[in-house]
Amino acid sequence: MKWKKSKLRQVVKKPLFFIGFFMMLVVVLAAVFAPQLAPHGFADQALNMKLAPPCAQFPLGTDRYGRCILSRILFGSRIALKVGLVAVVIETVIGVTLGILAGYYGKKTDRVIMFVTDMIWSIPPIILAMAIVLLLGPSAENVAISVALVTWAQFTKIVRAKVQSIKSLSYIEAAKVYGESDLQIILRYILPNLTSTIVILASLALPSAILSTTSMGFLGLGAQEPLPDWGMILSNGIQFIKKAPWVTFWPGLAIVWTVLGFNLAAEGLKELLDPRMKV
Amino acid sequence: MSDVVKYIIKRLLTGVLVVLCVTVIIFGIMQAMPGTPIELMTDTRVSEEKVAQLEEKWGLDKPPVVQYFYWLGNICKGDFGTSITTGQDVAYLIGQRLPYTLMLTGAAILVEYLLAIPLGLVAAVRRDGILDKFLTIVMVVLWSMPAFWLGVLFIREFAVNKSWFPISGYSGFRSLVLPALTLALPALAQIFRLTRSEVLDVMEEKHVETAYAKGISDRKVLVRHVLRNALIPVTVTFFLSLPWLIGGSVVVENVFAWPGMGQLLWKGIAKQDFPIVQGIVFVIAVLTVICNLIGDIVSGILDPRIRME
Repeated sequence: MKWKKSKLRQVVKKPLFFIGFFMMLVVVLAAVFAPQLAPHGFADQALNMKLAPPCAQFPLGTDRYGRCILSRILFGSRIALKVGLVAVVIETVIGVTLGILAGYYGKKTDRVIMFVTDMIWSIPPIILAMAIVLLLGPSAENVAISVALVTWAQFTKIVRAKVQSIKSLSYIEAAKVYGESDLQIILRYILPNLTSTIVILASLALPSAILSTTSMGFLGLGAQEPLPDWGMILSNGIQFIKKAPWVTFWPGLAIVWTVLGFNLAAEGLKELLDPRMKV
Repeated sequence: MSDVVKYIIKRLLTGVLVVLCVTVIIFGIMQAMPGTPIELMTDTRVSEEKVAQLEEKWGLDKPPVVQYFYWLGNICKGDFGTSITTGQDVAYLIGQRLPYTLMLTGAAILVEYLLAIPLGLVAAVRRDGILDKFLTIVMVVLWSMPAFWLGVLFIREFAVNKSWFPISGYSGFRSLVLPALTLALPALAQIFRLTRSEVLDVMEEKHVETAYAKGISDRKVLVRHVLRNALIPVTVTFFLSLPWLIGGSVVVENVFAWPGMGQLLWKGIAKQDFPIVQGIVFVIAVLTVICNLIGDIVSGILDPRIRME
């Protein structure tokens, strides 16, 4: 992951990368300092202020139980980031491991792994994820697991192709002749060559993971009440769309802000590490 | 032609195997779920004999493997069983809802491609121009948009405030507009990007240079030489993206109370209605495998290099 100064200068010139980075930073700070920033607790109910419009006390209004939307969104950023990150870590580990195995060993191993990959791709991801969450029970953790279980295949395909091309390099052949074990070769020669690919793939996977997990929250499969899951806050507000549009507007904006920020930052990172990589 | 036929047969067999494995996975998940559907539909006061009777009626007393093959055999006969909660014929329920889901995804994919291909072409031709940069930003924003929020914004703006379109449900063509746009717009970015990068790749090839050198007009070069080659991967993606849209329609159908399969699946999962969930996932898996197969075959025909792999 070496880069020249000129390359760094090139990226510095890209304003979108900086906007993305700034947006990302805002979300991370909101998550870290949620208890200090939020005017109310995320589950505090003001029963005489149900569906109140934005005012001094509740800057973004309240929901049907009189809970502060701003505070719920701020605390909700913790759930969104945590679930997204856990999902990406799990899918990266599964996807990269299988990709290396398929690419390195080839033959039957490759065929079995690719068959499983094809199979996973034969059920639309959200539908399989719904089925898995219902098996495990709806919660933030299980949403992370289910999203990871249906998305690792994209890592496998790209890592496999990359390993196939690295495998035929002469120093790998040399290492084999020296009698190094497969595990040593994979850890010492192949994995380091995959670093930038994995970093790019994982950083691009994070915004999609956040988007998918909020969709699951919207379907009621994520963190349960009174926890402030962004997707769930939004879906619970749909019935009040005429009377209290702020209940659906702000959590949606928070999702777009977060996903967009991470997307732009990831694009910038890809530009920096490997501009020609096709994902 | 024989290698094309061989290629198709090979893909067909793999497709059948994939569908079989998908049915095993889905059946396994439904089996592993805590609680039985009988427990959900009856309460504790119902006598054990009655429960046993119901279990026997639905075949739930037999071992899972037997249940699986029983179910698979029936499916091959077109019998998807009956819903545990409502007692309706599952094949009938799916048949009633499938056209609405296909209508929604069909309209969405039409909107998606009719917008994405021309925009991708324009962006590539005017590379790094203002329009290209603007479109790239718009696409990233759309890509980052949760479909359910877009749907809610549309409902509020065009159904509540302006009442141009119905808020939810299906009551003719006008009901289709908002859900189709909601489904299509976030998916647009992918096709736009693919078209743009493919067009850029093809434009750098020798035969395009030759065409320009021969004095053929810009428009003819673009349509005949560039677009024709650039659209091969786009066409393949068309078939591969259909299942994603069908999956996305679960969320969108929920926002708009669209009477499609996604709603039925959602209710079926909430009530652990095994036959409905298994039936729908089976139909979706078959549709997906067929789409993938068509995608593979089309790309094999359009691009002979793929067949050799």
